[in-house]
Amino acid sequence: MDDSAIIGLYWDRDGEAIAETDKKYGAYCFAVADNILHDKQDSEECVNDTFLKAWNAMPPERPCRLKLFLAKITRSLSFDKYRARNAAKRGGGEFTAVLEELEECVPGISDTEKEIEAKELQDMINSFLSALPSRERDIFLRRYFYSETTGMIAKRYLIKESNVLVILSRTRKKLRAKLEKEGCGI
Amino acid sequence: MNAVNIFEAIGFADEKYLLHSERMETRKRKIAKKLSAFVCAAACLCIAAAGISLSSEKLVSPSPDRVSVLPDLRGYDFREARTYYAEYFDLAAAQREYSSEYPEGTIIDTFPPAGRDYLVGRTTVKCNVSLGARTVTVPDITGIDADRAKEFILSLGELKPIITFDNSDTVPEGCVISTFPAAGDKALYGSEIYIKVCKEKEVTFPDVTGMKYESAKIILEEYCGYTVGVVFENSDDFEKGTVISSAPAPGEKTRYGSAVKLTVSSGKE
Repeated sequence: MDDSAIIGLYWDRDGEAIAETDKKYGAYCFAVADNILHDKQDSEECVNDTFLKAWNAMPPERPCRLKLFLAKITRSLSFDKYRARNAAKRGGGEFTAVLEELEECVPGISDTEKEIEAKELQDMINSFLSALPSRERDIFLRRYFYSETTGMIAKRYLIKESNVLVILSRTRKKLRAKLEKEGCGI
Repeated sequence: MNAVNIFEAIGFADEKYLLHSERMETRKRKIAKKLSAFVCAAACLCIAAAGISLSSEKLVSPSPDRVSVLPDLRGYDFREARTYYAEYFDLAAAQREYSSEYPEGTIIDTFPPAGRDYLVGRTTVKCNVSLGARTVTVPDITGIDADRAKEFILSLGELKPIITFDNSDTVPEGCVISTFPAAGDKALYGSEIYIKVCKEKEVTFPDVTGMKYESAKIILEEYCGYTVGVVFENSDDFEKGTVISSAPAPGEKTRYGSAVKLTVSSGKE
């Protein structure tokens, strides 16, 4: 069943919508969640919550690309679950490494604690992404949107893992420079 | 601002960029597909040259596309399937259970089930793997009273006892001669166990007339299973302590273990 038909089922409040979504994108959503949580049970819960949230969102939402719409929900829910789970403890896992790597992008000026508006940051990230060469942007997103391991990214794009690490390192530096230049967090 | 803010902001990345990352992968995969097709063709030629025939039961390769359809793995060996599909999905034995239908180590069913889409290289398929038919070891109940043996088997709840009867020279009446399957053998869980029980024995009463009472008693008790009673009476014909007569009479059919009476001479009057 194509995406528009599935979205149509959501708009018709037809229970088959979730079954069809699960059938088509269940594994995909699970992979997105599992990259962050690394726990099958938690990931499955997130996938179920994703379907529920999609059910509540459509209508009024009518996403252009259902797959990415679901991926964003799953990612957000998984991150919430990750934070809840790690509220008391910290450390370990691929996703922790992802966050630690992103810490490099935060301007290191001591008196720059002021938070910018989330929207402003989102716009800046998109502006940053648009300026990146496509391959760097893809690798950056596979790592920091989908939380894929560097090994998986290397396999996906048929390049060496060391290349992925170098590209990510350079891209993070660029993002840091961009954030500093734009005065984010200052 | 911290890493969490950045991570959250990346979550709002423009969909066209996210989509591009998917498309790029597809394009690259096509190259890989061509390469793998070439390798597969070469491998097939080698196999053909070696004269190896591939049966129709061989595992079917999924499409190397990004999303593929999960094949029906039921009945395939779990280890073989896990190795075979390692590039496509992670096969995990989530559950193991007894099955008389599927041999040990084969896949009973999967979750997601066959026919469902899965993400190539990023999906864990859970399997219910067969432990094979459940078997139990047959206990040794030989020589035990049939009723107690049957109760014992029923109390285990693993086998269905069926009583049959036969003759035996060594096992007392009403006791278990043997079982099928034999004690110590493996039997399918829930299957029938045939318990062969010694039926009522008919014993021809021996002639102990004229024998010393002690000798006659030993023969009747030890070898014939009788319970021997005795009465004494005077006799001119039989020496003191010898058996004058018996009840039942010699040659009469009796039940194994029944009570008999010997009349023993107490000498001349």
